[in-house]
Amino acid sequence: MNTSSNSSLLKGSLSVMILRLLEDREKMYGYEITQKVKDLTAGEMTITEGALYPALHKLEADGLLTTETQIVDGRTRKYYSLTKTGHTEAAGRIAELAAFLENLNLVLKLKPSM
Amino acid sequence: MLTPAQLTAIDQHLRKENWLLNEDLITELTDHYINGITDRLAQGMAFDLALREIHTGFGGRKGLLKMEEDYQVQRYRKLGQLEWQVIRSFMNGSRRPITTSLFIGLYIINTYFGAEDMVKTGLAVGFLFVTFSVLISIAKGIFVLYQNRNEVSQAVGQPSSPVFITAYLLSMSLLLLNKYGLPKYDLSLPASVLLSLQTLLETLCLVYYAAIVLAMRHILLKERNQRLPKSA
Repeated sequence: MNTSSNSSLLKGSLSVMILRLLEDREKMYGYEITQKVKDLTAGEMTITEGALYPALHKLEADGLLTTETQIVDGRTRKYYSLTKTGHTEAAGRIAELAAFLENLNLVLKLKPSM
Repeated sequence: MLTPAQLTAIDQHLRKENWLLNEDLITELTDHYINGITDRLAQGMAFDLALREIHTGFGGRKGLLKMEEDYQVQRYRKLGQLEWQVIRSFMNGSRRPITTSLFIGLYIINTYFGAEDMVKTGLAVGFLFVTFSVLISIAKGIFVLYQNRNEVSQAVGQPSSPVFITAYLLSMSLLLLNKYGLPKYDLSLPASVLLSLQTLLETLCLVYYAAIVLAMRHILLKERNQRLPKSA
């Protein structure tokens, strides 16, 4: 997938992707999120660090994510997890994006009129 | 596993070459750089090239500095949210008895100890500060509501305390009306009502101060706990 078009398409759905991943896993750190997306999409989709961290910080400030730090391999690692509000909001946003994609798909699959 | 020299290079890259100052952000990004570089070294990439590749992912120095600026803004927003959360607990939550006691205490001081002027003078700057903050909060609330008009829920909306804002604006408006509006018609509110309104404003002012102190304490304690992390 072209990187520039990939990133512009990702822009609006990045926070939903983060919420969905954290819904699935109890807690994740930044680098883990980038790798998980890469693995899930077989390298077709990459989240840049410059987009990921501001999104994580905003979700945390919005009260949807909470953080905790742990010492791993002798260094501090910051883990993100969903708050109670985050769980509720995640469900709503995922449903909204899924409905949008479904409608978008209908338009993209439009057969040329005879 | 990276060598001490490589770890020092990452630290210098973030602090000296890219001018980052925020310790929390530097800690988080250091972990990211170490993970990213370790993976790339395992694939046979050179250290310098791996470092540059990750740096590009962050949008270079410009991207890193913008991220730090945004991080501070989000931290400030979080403090604001926490302040209103504490105010809500004072107005209609677990701390409501404290607010009631404060009101009664100030009413007694104003009435029986005749210290009304002293309290009023003591909180004069506070009134201006709280009024300004309340007006800013209303403006922000309208702006955030407009920005998030398409959101599924209002979880991201600017938090506030409708009870606090209504009580504050109402008592302030009535006192201003009594001072500038009613005298034109030779009217005035009863002294007992004026004293109650004045005491209510003083109480709300102290509640606002308490909320700032408690919110800052909460954030500082959390930051201290994060600097003393637990082992995985």
